[in-house]
Amino acid sequence: MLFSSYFFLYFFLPAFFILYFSFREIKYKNFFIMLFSSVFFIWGDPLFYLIALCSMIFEYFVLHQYNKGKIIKKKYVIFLLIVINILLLSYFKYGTFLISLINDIFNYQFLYASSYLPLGISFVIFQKISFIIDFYDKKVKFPKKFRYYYIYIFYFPQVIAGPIIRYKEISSQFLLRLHSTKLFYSGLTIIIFGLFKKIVLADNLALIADFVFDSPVQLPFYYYLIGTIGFSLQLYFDFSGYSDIAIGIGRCCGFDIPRNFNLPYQAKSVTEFWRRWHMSLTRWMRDYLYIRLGGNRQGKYRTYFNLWFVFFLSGLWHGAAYNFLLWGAYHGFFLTFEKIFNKLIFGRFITLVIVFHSWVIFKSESISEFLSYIKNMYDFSFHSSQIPFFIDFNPLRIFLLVGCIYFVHIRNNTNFVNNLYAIETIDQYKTYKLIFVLILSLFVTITIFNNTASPFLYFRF
Amino acid sequence: MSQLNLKVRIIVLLFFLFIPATISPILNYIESKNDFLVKKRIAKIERPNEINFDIIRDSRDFINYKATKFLDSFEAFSISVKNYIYLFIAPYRLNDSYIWSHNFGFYPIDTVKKFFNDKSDDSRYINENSLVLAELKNIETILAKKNIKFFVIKPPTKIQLLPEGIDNIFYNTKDILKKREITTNKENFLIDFESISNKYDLKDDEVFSHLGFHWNYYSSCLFTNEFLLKINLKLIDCGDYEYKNPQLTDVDIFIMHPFFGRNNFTKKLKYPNLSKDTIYNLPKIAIIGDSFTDQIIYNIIHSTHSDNLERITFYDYFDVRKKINPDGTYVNSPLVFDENLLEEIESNQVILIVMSDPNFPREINSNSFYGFHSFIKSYYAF
Repeated sequence: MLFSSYFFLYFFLPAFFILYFSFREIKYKNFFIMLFSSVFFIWGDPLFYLIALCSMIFEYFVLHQYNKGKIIKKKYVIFLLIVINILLLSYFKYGTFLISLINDIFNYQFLYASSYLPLGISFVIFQKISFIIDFYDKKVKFPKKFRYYYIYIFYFPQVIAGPIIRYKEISSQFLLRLHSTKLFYSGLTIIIFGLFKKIVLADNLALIADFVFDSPVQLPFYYYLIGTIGFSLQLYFDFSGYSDIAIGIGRCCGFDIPRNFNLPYQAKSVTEFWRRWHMSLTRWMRDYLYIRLGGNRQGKYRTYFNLWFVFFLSGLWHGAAYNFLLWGAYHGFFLTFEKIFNKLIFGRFITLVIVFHSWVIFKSESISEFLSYIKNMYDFSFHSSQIPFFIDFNPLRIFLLVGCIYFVHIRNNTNFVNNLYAIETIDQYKTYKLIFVLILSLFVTITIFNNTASPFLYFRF
Repeated sequence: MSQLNLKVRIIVLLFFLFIPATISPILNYIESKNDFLVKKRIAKIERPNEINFDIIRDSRDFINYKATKFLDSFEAFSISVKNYIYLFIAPYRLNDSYIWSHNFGFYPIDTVKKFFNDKSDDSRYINENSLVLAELKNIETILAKKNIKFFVIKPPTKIQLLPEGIDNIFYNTKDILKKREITTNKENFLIDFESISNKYDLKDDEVFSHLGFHWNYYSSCLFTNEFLLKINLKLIDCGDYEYKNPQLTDVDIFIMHPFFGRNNFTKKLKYPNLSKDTIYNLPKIAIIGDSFTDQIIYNIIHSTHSDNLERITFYDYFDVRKKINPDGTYVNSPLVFDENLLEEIESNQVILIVMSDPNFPREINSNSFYGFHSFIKSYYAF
């Protein structure tokens, strides 16, 4: 169920809110979260829901026994639970890739039938692993009720494309959370803002990017530059738009879901970029991979390797293909480079150039496609397109592209964005802000009905 | 807490449900009373009545269908609002598929792209055109040996005849206009705009509807007449016409892009008064073509007795066979590309291919002439 679909926006979400706010007691509110989360998941992928549910019940049972002290070899049990989750992820997400890798290496033809990628598998598995490790490390207590764990894993706003939440961030909110009209308005504002990013900005920028990336003929070099910028912005608005909707729905229900983006295209270095982009994944990678590998405590060379390796794996997390591995390695290289030359900071523009190039790897279907794209972009050939520029590109979309670049890279929006998300500023809600949100929502509504909703890019991961 | 719950529920109702749920029925009412055009974008989905493995998927599709149906009028309303906004702020790019010109109406973007591409290099265009005509000539020669007459109608596109309609700061057509006269080879089997315009004094701005991108019924009548003349049949009196508001295919694009009130955009068009008694002795005709063929068949259907209609077979994009019923409706059947089809094609006395400019090939390949070329070539060497 797409967040930008008619059914979700005009039936599912209102029905959820109305039922959720029909009861005072938190246990009923939690019940409706469970109910709607189940419907949401079954609607999208009933088979994986069953698999994830069974594995979750098994984990809950085992950890329950662990918590009661009935398990002796604790370390092995935890290891087993993690392995089960990794195997699930590997089977569904990396099966085809691993077999093709073996076939490539050994020049053999193993057959592998499954090309089925369950909805939101990476996010579900990552949250489960996060809980298991934190529980083992005694950073979280065992959930008092099964429903708390169920909501943590299947909570519908963030189950498909994040943010990746840690149990300790949300556990106290299962029992007690604040509900208020202002909080609800604030959540609604973030939802509308997220929809605007996705439907008005990302979906329009996608048409620019797709035109260039999918072109069967060679285009003038500047088309490839525009395509690169278009895709980079599309990805940002698409993903951060989804996160905003998740955060917004969470806030309406009193949950404080952490931000996933913080103006990443204003970063002054690649390291800073990763502190601002998909923050919940970066944090997960840091806590459960980088630190577990030894972090920066085992000498500088091991630190550099750990850093690079974690980002290499981050590439693999994004997709089972060579281009994603290259993408991870590319980011790992720049992060390591910055770590080696500690004081070197690329600056805003160079960082933007480095990051935008990485999105070309990300978007390309194969390494050869990436190389060909880069070659076309830097041959500075006009290949005189016979068709006027503004026939190929809708003029309004080009204005939108320029406007977006200004807003995400040049203009300092820190206050605006912080105010949007900060709970402390909710009391400052003014009439003009409400009018602004209403206009934005009208804009979004009209655009929704004019567009064929396209899936969120991060649904793939 | 209870007051909070009530407040929030009111906000939800207002915010999420008020617009579609309350405006939709009102718009449904307006739609029934007014000239408010709605495009039904979704095909009907039946309620699943069997419990099987696909029940979740089927139910999901059905629920989605009902939800979208409920919001149908609101959808049309939203599209209209957006169109109106674009009409005023950016008519030069109404949406991804069309440019809107205040003087001449809709221009499809794909035809505009092809036009600029063709005009950018005259010699290449002439060369490509010659090769295509030579291949058509080969087909004519083969069919002539089987005593089958062969003709090609090439309807023009709006951008070819009226490029000035889109001239603005974004698309400069002045340079193009300076060299718009390109003389290409002429063949007797080819019926194109140049041959018609000189003969029947058809003006550039008389060919199309304002609210569609196909040719209108008057200009298609003249092309049909020229075809009938070539197969020695009595001509339709296209000169007997009356002016009417655009209708049928003449509003096809307008309907797909709902606007408020058709009257604001109406420009009356010529509609020939066709008589059922005009065409006798209709030979057996196979017509292979695209959507521009509809008006040609319309002209023939309304100019001949119903009993003659069985003598016409329309091969839509040479993909689907369409037999015409006496009442003018079609019976469709998919084509199977085998010797029976060859026999069926060869049983005709006349074969007509209708290729509007975007479908007129620039190079010969397996898809040229809707695949008819490669089909014939698979049986006859040329």
